[in-house]
Amino acid sequence: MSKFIYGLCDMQSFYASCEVASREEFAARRKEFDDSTDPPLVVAGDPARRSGIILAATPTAKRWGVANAMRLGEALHLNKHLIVVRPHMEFYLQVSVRIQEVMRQVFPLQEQFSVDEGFFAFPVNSPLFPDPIEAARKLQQKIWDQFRIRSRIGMGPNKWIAKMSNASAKKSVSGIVWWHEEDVPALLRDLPVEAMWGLKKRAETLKMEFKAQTIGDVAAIPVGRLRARFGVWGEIIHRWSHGEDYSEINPDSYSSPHKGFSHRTTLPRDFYERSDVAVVILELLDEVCYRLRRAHQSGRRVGLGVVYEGMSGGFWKAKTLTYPTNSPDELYLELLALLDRHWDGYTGIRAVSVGVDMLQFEKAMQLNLFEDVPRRKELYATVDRVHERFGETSLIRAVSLTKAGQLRDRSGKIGGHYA
Amino acid sequence: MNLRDGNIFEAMRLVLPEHRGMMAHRNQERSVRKSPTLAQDETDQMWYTLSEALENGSPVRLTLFGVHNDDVLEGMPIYDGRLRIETKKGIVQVDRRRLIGVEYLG
Repeated sequence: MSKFIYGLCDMQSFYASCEVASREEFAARRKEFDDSTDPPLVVAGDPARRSGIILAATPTAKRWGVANAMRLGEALHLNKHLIVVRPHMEFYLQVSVRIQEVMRQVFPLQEQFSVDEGFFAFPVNSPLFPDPIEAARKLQQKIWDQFRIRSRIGMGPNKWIAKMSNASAKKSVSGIVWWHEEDVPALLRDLPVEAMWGLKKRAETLKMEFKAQTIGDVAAIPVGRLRARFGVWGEIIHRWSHGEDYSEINPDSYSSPHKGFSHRTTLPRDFYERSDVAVVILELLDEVCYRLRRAHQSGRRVGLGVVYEGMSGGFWKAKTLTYPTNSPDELYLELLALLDRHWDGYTGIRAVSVGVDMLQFEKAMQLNLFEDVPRRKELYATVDRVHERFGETSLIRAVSLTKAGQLRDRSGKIGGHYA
Repeated sequence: MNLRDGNIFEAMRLVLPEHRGMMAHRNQERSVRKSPTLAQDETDQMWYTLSEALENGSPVRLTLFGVHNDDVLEGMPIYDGRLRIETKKGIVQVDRRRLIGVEYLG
């Protein structure tokens, strides 16, 4: 038997629920176990910036056929009476932080997984939690009482099974499902390969190359074959298909130091000019380097990611340097070299990401015969102080004022959406 | 992190920097303590101990409330209109509003 029961608690249509719960006219008539009491509300980005897609929709809106990532225009065509609200990212994050606190009050062994999901665990046969379903209900009830947000909870013998059973909890009336260890093989066996959480495109490969239709089919593939095709992931796929997962809950997960810093932006249109892409790269790099400097860290590997027009195709390439740095001047040249080497120069670019990892704390300063490094460090320290005091856009590079610059638009947003 | 044996969910999650910052800020906020409210007899006892120490020239241990941690000062108390204490590191001004404990060391 497992030592712990693991759970995954996730919020129903989180962004949309935050909007409904915070509006008196909708919140009062909202019922916990009747999601038809929600208004047909959607949270949508700004159409003018091509981010006019549905980020979240209430169950009522979804009954009209509205789906996440659908264009707003298309959604309005399905129901012209949809209540459309713009995102309030900061508010959602504030709510998220507080919901995770409630989870931790009920289950001290807890780890946030995403903005609206958290794992928890408690010992099997614990006198504190004699009835796991009851304990899960207590959490669900507390979240509803305090935030008027519905949550669903899946439980099982490990984190991956908790995630899988959570999918089934979403379809249950109570919103709580517990997969007992002895039932897991039978519960997984007939599920389609696509239902295996976390595989992404690998699920497609399992279907096409291995002719696996169900999780049971995947479990029958020898681990050696999976390893040969997917590397380390082969072992994980094998393990998961047998209902096993060794991931622990780490309550201090977010206080551990960063392993890398990265920033990404989706562009309002396809970029075709190298000079335009270079502006975006420099802006993203400045943000990454600012975070590196704040953490007193430098990185030895710099990476550039590009997504092509139509949001399909692209590349992520990285270069390892001979010494760690957090200087935009040095890293920018490396990023341009990566762009020139891997971009064909004519396919439109729709999204760009820049990352620095292989971090280490700054213990020494790498001097340079051709540059006054201490002076440059002073310059960036001054820039940081100006930004911290007067805001990110108080002092910007001149190129950010060109048509290609995204900084001014990004500065008012969180995760690409209105703060 | 070793993907095979580690917490794979930590490796797979996506967290906005703003979200991480908010979590850290909230944790910091939660660690802020409130100053205790002392009962009248506790306050009286504290000042009595201090005046005895001043009169006898005895060392004391003063506990000063802090939002994250209390400060503890040990040494000879001095009073000349202002309350100070002579510690091994020098003379320190004592903020009387933060004083929550006085122990006689003599």
